[in-house]
Amino acid sequence: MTGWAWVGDVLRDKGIAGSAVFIGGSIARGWANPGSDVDAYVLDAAVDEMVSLEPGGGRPPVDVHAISTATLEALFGKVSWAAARGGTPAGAVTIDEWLFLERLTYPLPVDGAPRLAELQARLDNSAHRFLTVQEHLTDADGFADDCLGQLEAGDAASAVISAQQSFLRSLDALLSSGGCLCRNPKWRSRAMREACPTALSYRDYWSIQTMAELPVLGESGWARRTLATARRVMAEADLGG
Amino acid sequence: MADNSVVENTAALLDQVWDRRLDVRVRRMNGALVLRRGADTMRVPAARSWLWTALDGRSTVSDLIGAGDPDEVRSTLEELVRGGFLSPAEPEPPTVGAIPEKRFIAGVLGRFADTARAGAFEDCVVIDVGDAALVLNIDHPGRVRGTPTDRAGYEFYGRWIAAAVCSDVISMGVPPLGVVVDLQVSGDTRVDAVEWLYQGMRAQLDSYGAGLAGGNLNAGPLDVVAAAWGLGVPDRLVRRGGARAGDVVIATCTLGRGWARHLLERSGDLERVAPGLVAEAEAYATGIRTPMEPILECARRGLLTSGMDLSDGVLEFCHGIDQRGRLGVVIDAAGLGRHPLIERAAELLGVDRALFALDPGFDFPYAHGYTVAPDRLAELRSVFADHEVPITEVGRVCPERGVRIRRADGELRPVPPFHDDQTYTAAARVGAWYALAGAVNGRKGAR
Repeated sequence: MTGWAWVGDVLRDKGIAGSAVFIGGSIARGWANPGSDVDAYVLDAAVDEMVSLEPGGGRPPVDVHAISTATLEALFGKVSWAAARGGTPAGAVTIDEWLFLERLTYPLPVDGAPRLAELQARLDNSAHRFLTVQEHLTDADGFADDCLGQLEAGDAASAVISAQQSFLRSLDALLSSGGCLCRNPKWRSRAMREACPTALSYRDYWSIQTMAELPVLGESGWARRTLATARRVMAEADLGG
Repeated sequence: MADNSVVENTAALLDQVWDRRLDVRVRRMNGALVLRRGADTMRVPAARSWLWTALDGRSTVSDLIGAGDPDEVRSTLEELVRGGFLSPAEPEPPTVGAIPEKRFIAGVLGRFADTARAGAFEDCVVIDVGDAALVLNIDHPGRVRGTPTDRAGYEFYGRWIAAAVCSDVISMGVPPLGVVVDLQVSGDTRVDAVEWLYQGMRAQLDSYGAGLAGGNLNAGPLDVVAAAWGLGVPDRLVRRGGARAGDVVIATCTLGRGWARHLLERSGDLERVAPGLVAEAEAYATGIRTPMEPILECARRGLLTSGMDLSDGVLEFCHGIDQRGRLGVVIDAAGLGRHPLIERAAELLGVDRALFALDPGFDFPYAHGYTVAPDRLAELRSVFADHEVPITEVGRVCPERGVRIRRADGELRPVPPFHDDQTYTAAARVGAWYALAGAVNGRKGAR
C-alpha cells in the first residue's frame, strides 16, 4: 500500500469515510499506463456518491466511488444464488455494478483490509462468476445466431463482424469461468496473456481479434471458421454451479 | 437429422468425418456438456464431451480414438448424430486451401507452366541458356519462429529466407550465385529492423558465396518472396528422377533431430531433457546451413544419381522414387534415429526412434536426400567425412514398387506417403505423423 497510501489521506481530508478503501482497475491489476485513471472505492460510506478529486502536488486525479452498505447489500442480492436460480433478468445488474464487482475481485487495498476480505469471500461464494459467464455466453449465442442468419442472407461482411463478436464474448466467458474477469475489451489481450487458457492459444486468439486470416479465408469462410472456434470455446467455458 | 442408416452402421459412424453444427447452443456445467438445438437437448458426459469439441470436419472418430475401444463411445456418438448436433462434413469446395500444395502444383499450375507437370517438376525451374543451365528457384519462406520482434529475430528470419531459397539450387548440385527478395512490411516497421533482416540474408549468402542482387518493397503484413539462381552443367544437374535399383538412399544430416526437438517442445517435455542436449538442439535449430560443399563435390564427381532437398521430409523423396522411377525403397529402421536427443524423445514420447527420421522436413535446410550407387557409397561417405558432415543411410532402392520399412524385428511394413504441406496446420502435421507412426507400428493413431 505504500505507493497509494496517500489516497487514504486525501479521502480523510475530504471527509469521505467508510469501512474499507481500495483502488480498482488497471492499477490494481498491474496493467496501468501513464494515462490510467485512479479509481478509488470507499465501502460502507455514509452516502452513495461519485466525486472527482484533484489532490495536487503532482499526484493524479482520483475518481472516488463511495458506496453505502445498503447499496452493497442490494448488489450482493442481485448476484446471489437465489437470484440466479430465480433467473436474474437481463440488465438487472448495471455495467457500473459489474465493473465494481470485477474490481472488488482484484483490489489494491488502501484501508480496511479485513472488511475487504470479508466482502471478497462473500463474492467468491456468490453466483457472480456464474452470472458473468452466463451473460457472456448469452451474448455469444445471440451474435452466433445473427452470423448464421447473415450468412444465409448473403450478407457476409456483417457475418464477419457477428462471428468475431460471438468469438470474443465466448472468450470472455472462458476467461471468466477460469477466474480471470475482464469486462473491458481493451484489456482482453492482457487478460489472455495472464490467464493462458489451455483451450485457446494466444496466437489463435490474436488471429481472430485482428482478423488476420480474413484475406486468406474470405469473408464467409472466415465467419464460419470463427464461429466454429467460438462454439468450441463456449464448450470449454464451465459455468460451475 | 442424420441418415439413420449411418447410425445403424458402426463402421460408417466411426469413419465418417463429422462437423459440429454451428447452430448448437453449448453450455458446460461441472465438466458435463449440455447441447441444445431447437427443441433437442443432450447432456454429454464429461468423459465423452471430446466427441463434440474435437470433431471439426477434419477427423473421423476412428482417428481420434486411435487404438481405443469404439464400443465405449458408440452410444454417445449415436445420440449426437441422431440429435442433429453433428453433421457429415460437406465435401470441400475446390478452393486453394482445400488442395495440398504438391497436388496444386502438379494439377493446376502444371496445366499452365512448362516445368510443373506431375512427374516432371524439379526442385528448381531449369532454363537452357546455351551450354549452361540456369537453375532458378522461387520461394515463399515462412516465419518458422513466428513474427520477429527484435534484432536477433529479424536476423534469423533473414538467414532463414536466404537458406530456404538457396537450398533448392544447391540440391540440384549447383552453387547459388544470387538472390532477389520481394519484401512486404507494414508501414510502422522500423527501418533498422528491415536492415537487420537484410544483414541476416547477407550473412547467410556470404557463407554460400552468393550475392544479394536486389529486390522490391511493398507495404502490408510481413511477408517475403525470394528467388535464387545458379548456373550448372545441364547433364550434371541432380534431378528428382534417376535413381536405380540397388542405389543407397542417404540424407545429408542425422535425420530426425529437428522433429524430435519440435515434438518435445510441443509436448512440454523439453525440460525433461538434459540441458546439454537442449543447448545442442537449440544450436542446431539456429545453425540452418545446407552442407553445400560436400553436396557440390559429390555432384561434381557424378556420385548422385538423383536427389532433392528434404524441406518436406524424406518420405516425399522415397515415394518420388516410387512414382517417377517405378521402383521402390526399403527403409532400414536400424540405421535411423541414432542421436541422443532422438533417443530421449523416443523414450519420453513412446515412439520408435527410427520413426523420427520420417518427419515432415524439420531438419531443413541441413537435410537433402540423394541416391548413390552402392559401389560409390564409400567415396560419398569420404567426401562428407572430409567436411565433417554426418549422413544418414536411409535405405535402398529396390525393383519392387512401394515404400516399406524394415523394422528392428525384421518385418517389412508399408509406409504411406507423408510429407509437409503448406495446407497443414501445426496440430494437423503432428497428428498426421502420429497416425503414420501408428500405421507403421501396425495400429491406429498411437499417441
